[in-house]
Amino acid sequence: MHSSLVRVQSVFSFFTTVTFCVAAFIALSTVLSPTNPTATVDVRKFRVIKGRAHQYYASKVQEYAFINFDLDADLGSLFNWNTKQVFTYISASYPGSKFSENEAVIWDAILPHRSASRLHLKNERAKYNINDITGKFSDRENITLSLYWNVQPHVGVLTWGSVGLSEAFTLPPLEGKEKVSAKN
Amino acid sequence: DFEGQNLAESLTTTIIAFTGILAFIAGWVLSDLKYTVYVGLSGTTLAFLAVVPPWPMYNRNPLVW
Repeated sequence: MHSSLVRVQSVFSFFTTVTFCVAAFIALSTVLSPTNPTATVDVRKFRVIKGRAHQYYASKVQEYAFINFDLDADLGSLFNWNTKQVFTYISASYPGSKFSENEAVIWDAILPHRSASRLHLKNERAKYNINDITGKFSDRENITLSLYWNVQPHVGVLTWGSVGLSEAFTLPPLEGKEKVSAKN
Repeated sequence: DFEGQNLAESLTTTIIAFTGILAFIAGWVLSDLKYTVYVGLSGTTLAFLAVVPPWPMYNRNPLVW
């Protein structure tokens, strides 16, 4: 503490130490404290069309599933003072022939604020039309849609969870040869 | 001068530690991280201003050569 430069260095180093401690407390307080997201999600498949389509930048012709869904969710309890944003996505999962468990994301959204966390979607078209790894989607059974959330805090660890499960449905067989672009 | 150094060090420690606690409480109560950052940074600026410039209070017991 004998010169100004030394004092600057000392103050700044203690400042970084205290900042780190405060950040650790913040992260701990928001992870350990009872954050019980009572999100009521009701995902219902509405309509499914399947058609052969050209991938917009590849020449391979595959089968795609076009899914529409209804979504009713209230993810407000996930937001605390440490939450930067909540990323939520719907994924369809089903058993397959080549692998026993397949999962593909059909829709996602970023919720930057608690006011955006009440979702009421009706007959919403899926953002991403999914195709199977074997290229064939015909008559896949036992497909369920579930809503996942991912809380991204300002300081601390990322947390995931899933809520809401639709009942299993079966894809109808292949529809006509529509030359539809896959990015609908 | 050594007394002054002690004073400077204890001053910076208490100011910044207190600022950290206050910043956490402010953010917790007001439920917004913005206040934590504001309170923390302003308290740290106060600590810098109190300690870094050579105020005469740090030179009350100068060394006698």
